[in-house]
Amino acid sequence: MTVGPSPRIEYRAVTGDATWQENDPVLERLTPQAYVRNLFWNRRRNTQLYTVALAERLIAAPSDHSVQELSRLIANRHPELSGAFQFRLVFVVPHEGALIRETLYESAPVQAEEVRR
Amino acid sequence: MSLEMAMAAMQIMVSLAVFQQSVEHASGEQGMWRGVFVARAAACLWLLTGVLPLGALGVLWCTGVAQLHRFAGPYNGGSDKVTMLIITCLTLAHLAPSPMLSELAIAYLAVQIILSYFVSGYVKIVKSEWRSGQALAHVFWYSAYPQAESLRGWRRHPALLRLMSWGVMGFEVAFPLALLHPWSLWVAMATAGTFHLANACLFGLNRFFWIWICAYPSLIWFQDRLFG
Repeated sequence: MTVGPSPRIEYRAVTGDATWQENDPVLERLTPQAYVRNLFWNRRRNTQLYTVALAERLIAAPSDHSVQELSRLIANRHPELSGAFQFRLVFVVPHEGALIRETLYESAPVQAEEVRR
Repeated sequence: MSLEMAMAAMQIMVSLAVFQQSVEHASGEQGMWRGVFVARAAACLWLLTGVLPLGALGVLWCTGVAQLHRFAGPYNGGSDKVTMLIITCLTLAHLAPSPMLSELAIAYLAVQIILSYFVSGYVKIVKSEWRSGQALAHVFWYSAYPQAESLRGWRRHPALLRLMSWGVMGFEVAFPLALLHPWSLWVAMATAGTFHLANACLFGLNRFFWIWICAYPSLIWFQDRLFG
């Protein structure tokens, strides 16, 4: 059991501002109350963990399910997103004391309104 | 602890744990799948009443399989697998035509829980990265697991991480020995519970914390059955 490359899920609108942004970055810090609350209700975190699992599955064994679920979760996470968008999977791995990023998957454009539910 | 008491305790605990999971899922789903998770939550309340538990367990088992189909596998990794394991073993224990076969179903659950710790510890302890604490440093440095960015600073404490690595590996590989005495089992379960609580706080693995402790009554019964 070793720690393998770790995925980051990024998205961008196909038109307009084409900057890639992290889909759902973890919070900078949590309050003690948040740690306790998260023991009982942690939907956002569990969704984050599911997207990480989907990203790893998509690289290990590509499937329409993983693409559709990642598209849906990104569209749901960003209700302001309209029209076509793309997502990509960037894997982070240590190399000679620094972290390097490698894009292993880039999706075709999908329509936010069609995948959002 | 008698088999009946262990099963009753697990049914109460698993109904509460799965209810929490199901409400969380239902709040994020729409259409038919929201209905599936509402049905799952309702089955938990049914199981909590203790009336015809086999029926409630049957609904939980069927909706558990549907959930695996919905997410094309586990949604929450090992916690979903242990949820299905507990529900399956409780269902088989109720369906078993003889007390001995009921015991076999719960003993199977207990052995699987023991192995979940032992195997997890073994695969770590044979790796130099885990023995040195480097693997845990990498988890905090760049993995997707810390549930807050501020937690990544833990990677700058190699001595602490080495101590944590050995603490986790030590308790995991030694877990089967805890069965030798009731008190050692209670100490091991308290240690394991603390480990799951730490994982819930550091990595947001809250479902793992709740579902693993749901299976502990099977360990208490199993220890008593073997050595009591």
